[in-house]
Amino acid sequence: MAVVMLERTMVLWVPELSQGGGDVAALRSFAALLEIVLLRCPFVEPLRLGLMALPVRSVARFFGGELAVCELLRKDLAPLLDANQQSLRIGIADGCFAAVLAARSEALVAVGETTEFLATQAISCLHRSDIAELCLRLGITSLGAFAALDRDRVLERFGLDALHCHRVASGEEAMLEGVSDPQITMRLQRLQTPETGTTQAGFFGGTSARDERAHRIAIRLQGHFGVSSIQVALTQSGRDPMERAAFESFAAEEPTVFRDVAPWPARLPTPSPMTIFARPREVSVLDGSGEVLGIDAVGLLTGTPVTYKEANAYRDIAAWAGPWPLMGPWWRQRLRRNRLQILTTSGCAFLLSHEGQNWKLVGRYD
Amino acid sequence: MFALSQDPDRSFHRPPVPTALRDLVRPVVAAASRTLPVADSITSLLPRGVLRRGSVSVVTGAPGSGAVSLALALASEASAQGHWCGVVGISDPGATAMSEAGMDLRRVLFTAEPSKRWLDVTAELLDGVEILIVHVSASVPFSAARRLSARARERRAALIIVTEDRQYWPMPADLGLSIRSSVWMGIGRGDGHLRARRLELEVAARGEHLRLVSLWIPAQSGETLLAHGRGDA
Repeated sequence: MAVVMLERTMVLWVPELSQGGGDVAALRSFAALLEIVLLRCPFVEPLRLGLMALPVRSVARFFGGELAVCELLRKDLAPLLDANQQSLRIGIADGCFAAVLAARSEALVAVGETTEFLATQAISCLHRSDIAELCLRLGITSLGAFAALDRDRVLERFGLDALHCHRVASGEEAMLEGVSDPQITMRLQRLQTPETGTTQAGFFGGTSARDERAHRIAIRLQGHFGVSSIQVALTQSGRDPMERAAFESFAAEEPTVFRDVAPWPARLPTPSPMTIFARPREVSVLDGSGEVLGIDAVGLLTGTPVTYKEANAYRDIAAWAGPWPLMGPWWRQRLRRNRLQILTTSGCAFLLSHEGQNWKLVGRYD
Repeated sequence: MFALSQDPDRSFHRPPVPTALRDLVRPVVAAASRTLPVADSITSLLPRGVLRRGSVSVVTGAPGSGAVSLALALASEASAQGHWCGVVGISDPGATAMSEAGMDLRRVLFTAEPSKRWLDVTAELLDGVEILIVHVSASVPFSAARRLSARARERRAALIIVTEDRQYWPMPADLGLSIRSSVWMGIGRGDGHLRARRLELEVAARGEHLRLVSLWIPAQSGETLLAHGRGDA
């Protein structure tokens, strides 16, 4: 089995925040803590309310060791934590999931000892009740015993998700699905969005008659056809057009408009695709001899694109631009991708994204 | 007080106003409020240079040829000036691109997907918005088209139909824009990027001759520009 080196990760956990109801006050308090940590380490990432992770290697080098970083962050955060009567637990291990577990017992797991540390943890740490229940009945109580099971048998009995759990338990994958809250970044961003400024008031202030009319009709339609039948688009900062917009159900209060002030390196040049496929379509890009193209180690195409194939249909490529790499942080693999614009011989332009080993058709320039 | 209490129902039995009289007393509207604002660069496309309220425009073009961008170019100036827009039946809209096209997304209502009752949704949405962009991907029954046009006229909203095939909309339109060709500029073989697109349009305005027009959507500056010669983006 190949030895996988997982990134050294530090997790900071504020139990009072994650055990609370998750209201706006808790979110604000978490955002304030995050701000302070950001000053020391710009790579810190919120996992869920009360839980944040940061790659500790570079920070430890800079401040003189992992213990020094712990001390420093504790000192930085102490005033705010004391004021809110909160406690802080810090754990360090290889891989994000192990670090989350380490934070529970405030353990600093030494380099290379993460697999042993994981092996001692209870099977319930996986938060998969079906697996835990059966394993407990079989006498498998720890992650170590679970990791010792034959992987093919686990896949057979429990399916793909259990395979993922098995990899995590054996210390081959950094993060367990379901531990982090995908909404947390969005929620924090919304908290920081400036409330004032861009709303255009009606003639006498407030909303105009035409705003009221549109609101009334939208709400009536939602009553007839369901809340999700009428949607509005929200824009936010980001690198790719698919990150920069989101749709949500119409609500009567005016959505705040995000003012794009920060520069976004690696942002795609305008114009953006007029159609963003909600379900990106899998395609393969081929060269003249029918060889499938990928991205090589230095971020270049491995050949000259001539056609692309989507579900057995081939289309010829007349021109292309890119690939433009996007290097996200290590713990968000999805953010590591290459973008490519292609123009077909029929004059249609598409945006492709290369993630993992696959090409996906993400947008069309309508 | 007494008069009312003697006949409380009197006010509810008002005789109907004769139609002829109603037409006479209908308030006169100023010309400006009968039209919607459009960007200066595309006024020459429109009949008499205005986008009239209650009018129906049909934009025809294959998927990927720029029909949606063209429809948005008609609507963007009004949207930027605070008019409400509705977007029906465009699956997977790219909100970033719409915002780049000049739409004010705070005042754009999207309906998720054209369900079986899209006609009801569309007709009702015409009550609330001033510009409605409807993507039509199959033939619309004549009765439905007539109902929508009448509703748009009545509610004084501009209806913009986007379709792949002009036959899908069975009624005559005040303005018909068909995309003949679309050419992207700026993208090379591994270099540059998509910068500007030149559309060749056939413009059929009611009561005017058929015209051929070239338009840059978007031009290199990101706006919509009328092309007067070759290569003047």
